[in-house]
Formats: sequence, C-alpha cells, structure tokens
Amino acid sequence: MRRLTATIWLLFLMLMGTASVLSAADTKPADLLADLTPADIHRLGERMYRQGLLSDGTPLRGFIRGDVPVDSTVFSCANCHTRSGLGAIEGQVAAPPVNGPNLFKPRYLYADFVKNTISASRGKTRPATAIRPAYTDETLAAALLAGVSATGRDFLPVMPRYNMGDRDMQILISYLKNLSAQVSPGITDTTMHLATIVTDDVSATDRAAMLAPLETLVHINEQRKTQRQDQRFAKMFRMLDNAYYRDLSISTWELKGPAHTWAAQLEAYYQKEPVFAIVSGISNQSWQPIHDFCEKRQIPNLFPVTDLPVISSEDWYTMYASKGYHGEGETVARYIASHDDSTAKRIILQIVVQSEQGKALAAGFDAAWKDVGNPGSVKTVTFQTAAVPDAKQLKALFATHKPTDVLIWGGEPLLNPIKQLSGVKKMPRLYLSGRALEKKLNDLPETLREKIFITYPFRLPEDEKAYRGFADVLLMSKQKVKDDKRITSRTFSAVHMLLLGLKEIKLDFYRDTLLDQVSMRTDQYLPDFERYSFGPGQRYASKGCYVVQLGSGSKPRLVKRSDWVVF
Amino acid sequence: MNRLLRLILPILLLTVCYGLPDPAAAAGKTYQRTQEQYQLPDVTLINQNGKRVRLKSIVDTNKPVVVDFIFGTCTTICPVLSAGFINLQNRLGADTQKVQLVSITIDPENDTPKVMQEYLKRYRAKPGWDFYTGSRKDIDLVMRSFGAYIPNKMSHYAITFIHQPKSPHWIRLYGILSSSEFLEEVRKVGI
Repeated sequence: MRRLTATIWLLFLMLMGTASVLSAADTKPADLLADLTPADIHRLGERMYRQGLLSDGTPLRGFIRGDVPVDSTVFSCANCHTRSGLGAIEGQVAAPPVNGPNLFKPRYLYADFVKNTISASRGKTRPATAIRPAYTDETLAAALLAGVSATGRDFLPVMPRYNMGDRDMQILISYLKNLSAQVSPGITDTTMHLATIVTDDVSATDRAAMLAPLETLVHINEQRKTQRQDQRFAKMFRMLDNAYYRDLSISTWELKGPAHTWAAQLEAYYQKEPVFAIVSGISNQSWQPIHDFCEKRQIPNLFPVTDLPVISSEDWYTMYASKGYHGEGETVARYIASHDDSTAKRIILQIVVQSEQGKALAAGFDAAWKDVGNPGSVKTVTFQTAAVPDAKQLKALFATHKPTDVLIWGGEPLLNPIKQLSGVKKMPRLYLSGRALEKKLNDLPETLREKIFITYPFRLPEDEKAYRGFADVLLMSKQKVKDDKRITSRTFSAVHMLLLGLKEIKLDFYRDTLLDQVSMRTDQYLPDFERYSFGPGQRYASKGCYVVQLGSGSKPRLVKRSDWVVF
Repeated sequence: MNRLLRLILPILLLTVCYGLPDPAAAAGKTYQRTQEQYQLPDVTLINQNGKRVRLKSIVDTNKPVVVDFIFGTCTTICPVLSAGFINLQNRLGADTQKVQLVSITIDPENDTPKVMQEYLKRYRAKPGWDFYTGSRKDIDLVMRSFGAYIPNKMSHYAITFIHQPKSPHWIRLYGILSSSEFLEEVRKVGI
C-alpha cells in the first residue's frame, strides 16, 4: 500500500512536471518575472540554490528515493552540486555540473571534451557525439520536477524531485544559466594572475621566507617552456597544448601604514591588476582587513601566514592553516573541562594582556568555555600592553582569587614574571601559549614545569623531522632561506594546496570552484601541523592542538598531555 | 544418509554454480540486506552535548539501535541518510522513543559537540537521535569493527546498521532505503 502511495506521488509529480513544462512553454519568462529586476532574480535564485528558500521565503521541498521528503533548507542544491555548480563526487554518487555552460551545452565524454577544447583553441571544429544534448528551459524544468534527464534517463534516487511553481522555476533556471558562466577575473588566454600580500610590520627576512616558495613555483612553471622542446615530453605537450597551461604571475601587494587604510590600498592594487586568487601572504597584525576585502571582492585567499585569522563559520573566501591563537584558547577551555574536577571547586583566572595575541587567546577560551557549558567560574583580568604585570602582581592575583587554573595570555613579555613564580604556595596549574613562547620554552624553570601546561598547535619536534625535509627539497635548494619561524614551510603548504586545487579545476577557472575543490581534498600531511583536513565549507585546515608539559633538562622534551584534538 | 545426499547434492551444486540469490534482487529492492555479527571495541565516544559515553552502553539497550556514519559538512550521502533518519522519526510519531538513532561522525576533527548539535538542530532531530564524535583512533576502530572503514570521507557510501535488543546480530543495509523500506526494516527488529 505504501509502495502504491509512493508510486502515485511520483506519477503526480511527473504530471505536475509535464503541466508545468506546458505552461512554461505557453508563458514567456518575461511575463512571469516582469516585476523583478535582473539583480532580484539573481538574489532570489542564489538564495534558492544555496539556502533552499523559494521566492516567497518558504522552503523548497521535494522527495528523494521515491517517498522520503526533503526540505532544501537542510539539503540545498549547493550541498551536492557545490556553490560554484561544478558538482562533486562522493562515494558512488556523482552530482554532475549544473552551471550554465555545462547544462545548456551538449555533454561529451571527457576524452572528447579535451580533444574538442584543444581543437577549438586551434580554430578547428571537431565532430564528436554528445552523450547528453543541451538542456532547454523545458527539459530542465522536467528534470527538476520529475527527475528525468535531457536524454530521457531517470536520475539517481538521491536527486530530489522538487515541488515548485513556474515562477520559482524560472528564477532558478535563470540563476543556473548565469552560475559560473564567466571565467573569473585574473585569467587570460596565456596567464593566471595571482597575488600575495606583505604588510610593512614584517621583517625583510620573514618577507623573503614567505616569497621563496612562490618564486620557486613561478620558476618551475616557466620550465615547461624548455621542457616542451624536449623530445620525451613533446607528445604530452602537443596533446594538451596551451589550452591547458598558463604562465603564472604572482604580484606582491605591499600594505603600508595603519590597518584601516589597507582596504583602500588593496582596492587600488586590484583595480590595477585583477587577480584570480591571493596565495599565502604574511602579517603580524590581524588578518581581518584582508579577509574582509577578499569577502567583498570574492577573491580566494589560500593559507596566509597569520596567527590572527578571522574566526567565522559563514565566511567563504579565506582558507586558513589553523585558527591561530584563538584555537589555542579553545583547546585550553576544552582541556580543563574534560577533567574530572568538581565544577563547583574549579576557579579559573584568565590574565590577558590586551595585545592582538592576548585578545585572540582569550576570545578562543571564552567561546569554547561557553560551548562546553561554563563548567566553573572564570575571572578575567586585563592589562595594557605597556603595563604587563610583574611577578609580585601575579602573586597578588593568585592570593586574591585562589584559582585552580591560571591562563596567562601575554606572550614573551610575561615570561620573566612567570619565571619568578617559583616558591608560591598552593601553586595553581598555569596555561601558556606554545605558539607565543615556542622559542623560549626552554627558559621555563624546572621547578615550575610540573605546574605548567602549554598549548602546542604544531606537530611535536621528534615527529616533525620527516616532514620539514620535503619542503626544502621542493625548493630545490635554490633559495636558502632561514626558516625558523615556520614561514617558508607554511607558504610551501599554501602552494601545495593551490596546485592540488588547480589540478582539479582544469579549465573551470571560477574562483568558487577553486575553493570547492580545495575543500574536497583528502587529509594532507604537510610541515608544521599534524594534519590538514578539509570538508565543504571548512575554513581552518588544521583542527588540532596538543596540550604538553616540559620534560627535564636544558633542552626538555615536550610531553603530550592530550590528543591532537581535545573535545 | 546417501539418499539424503543424493537429494541435497544437486541443490548444493546449483547453489555453487549460480551463487546464492541476491537478497536485494530477490525482493526487488535497491539496497542489500545482510545479517552480520560485529565485535565492537570498548571505546568512549562524545555526544552532541559533550557527554562521554561508552559505545557498549550506546548499543546494548532495550531498544532497537540504528547506526549510520556521517559528517557535519558532508555534501551528498549524509543529507540523504539524515533525511531518512528524520523521516523515520516523523513516521514513528509517538513510537519515536522506542528506537535509538545513532550517527557516528567520520570527520571527528571537525565535528565537535557544537557542530553536531547544530547539525541535529538543522535536521529538526527529536530526542532519540544522537550524534557521536571521538578521537580519530577510536572512530577508526569503530568504523573498522563495523566493516565500514572509510579512510577518505569524500569516498563515503550509504550504509546503515540495525541492532535488535539483546541479539548478537546486526542487520546491515547497504544502499539508500525508501521511507517505507526503512520503517519496515526497523519494525522487523521489533518495536
């Protein structure tokens, strides 16, 4: 009986589809959407595609697998077909491309598509049999309503059969026609224009360390011009031709002066030379103004060297290696909460120097502490950067608040006062940022080490040896740059991810596709961080951070006190 | 005895030659149903409320338990599986509490309790559907014990397990079930 009900539903939907197609044929789109401007149509179409809301704000609904109702606000078109519309493959399910150039042109086998592209670049037309004719508005409407492709074949049951009216159908079709229809700025027939960013607070050494892998990338890309003369590679280059190769140009955008002036400087650089993406970049200040510019201009920024990223679950265009200091603060909150201590007896004292670093650590702790349900009282005391507390002040704070755990978010300026804390009676546990103190950890006195817990967001030194070498090899030893601050290695990782993304996007030079593709890569084992992991919409590749303690001696080992990810 | 063998042998031979009937094909279904036994590891997982729970106590209850593997930012398979879960809860109505739905993440590094809580909220999950994370090592052990190890989450596939209370057996459902098929499978283990 239920099967019968499902069949009747499907028949009903198919009839609705046919009726809708007929009425769509009778009524010109212009009549249905006459009250909307092109910008309105785009906005409503985007909302329908990405958020699953119809033009009247109600959810787009449909059925999968015959009779399973789905609401597109939880399962939108973009979920499977990706934001750029170029589709995805997950397991045995392929969500094919649904952007305008793919839908409204015949579809060929990939081998034919490659050959056709090369022929076209040489001004020739090559006959090939399409495996699917181009969609028309009518066949696309039937596909969305009844799940029948332009070839007449049924879609997989996981593709919803939607229930939508003619007006919404026209809005969605119009959106799909324009989705990833224009190659993004920064791409010409011969060149891919990229940029990187350096702010004027960065030292010349650090600047050179960041630029080295990018210069190597351009250098290696140039080598293809000589390689193509080589008999051994001639056939490969003849097959692929220039249609598949671009010169790489990477401009360095130098930002000067206060951060609030960066937006205008970035805009001026962009107007002069639109770029496809920004690769890496470096600043000691918050990445916020650059992040905001990339959101506004919809430019991907891949893995800048920053410990002060913007923390957002919604923003799209900047992918970070990690959450930086914020992530370390989060780790401490989860680590303390995971202990069996009595919540009532747990008293946290958070000492925050009001630097960007101190504020980010505290913001991370506060956010995660709230998420874990505020399991204990927290007292936060702040200090200006010009007036960091000395040992006497720290001891006085301990005496006043009688904390069980003290977080000291102040970096190097607080190292000396901490060293003088030996001898405090009922010493609480102290938490420090390993990123902020990495080079100075050995200075912490042995008498205190039992009470000091350090967030360590990198792979442990004994495991790191195997990974740092290969970045050097790929730099081909041509640019010997001292990299004791993880700058070259992090930029190397950015280049690695850019290349993985470019390999996947092939000729689909759309910025959102680059981000979609990087987001769908498998785990990467690169220098510095234990693991880069990805997923659609995820923007912080390294999710973990150890909590460690120091061993004994002048060159102490870091002893793990937590897993890579603390829950 | 010989007579019995003479009777059975041709059937056995036919079975060997043609293979056992495919349960999916036999029933005209688009999913495969098999009965399995699994040795589950003694690990502790963390639910969407941050609570640590032993896997054994999650599955050894007096209710039928339905397990799937998903992740918070999954594109294709998980929304389909989760639509199946919420639809099952809706169809069970007042009986929802009689079945325990368990989703285990295959992306534990990203799926914190907060992410899992938001996921369940987005699907309008009712009580009786919990989402679990854990250390990468423990999650790998769980996946392996179910014979469902997925090293790369983008090569994820649809697989659901149903456990009958107090039974050593699990029903393994490979593929995507319709709403009616799913309800029927859950009813078979007794609610």
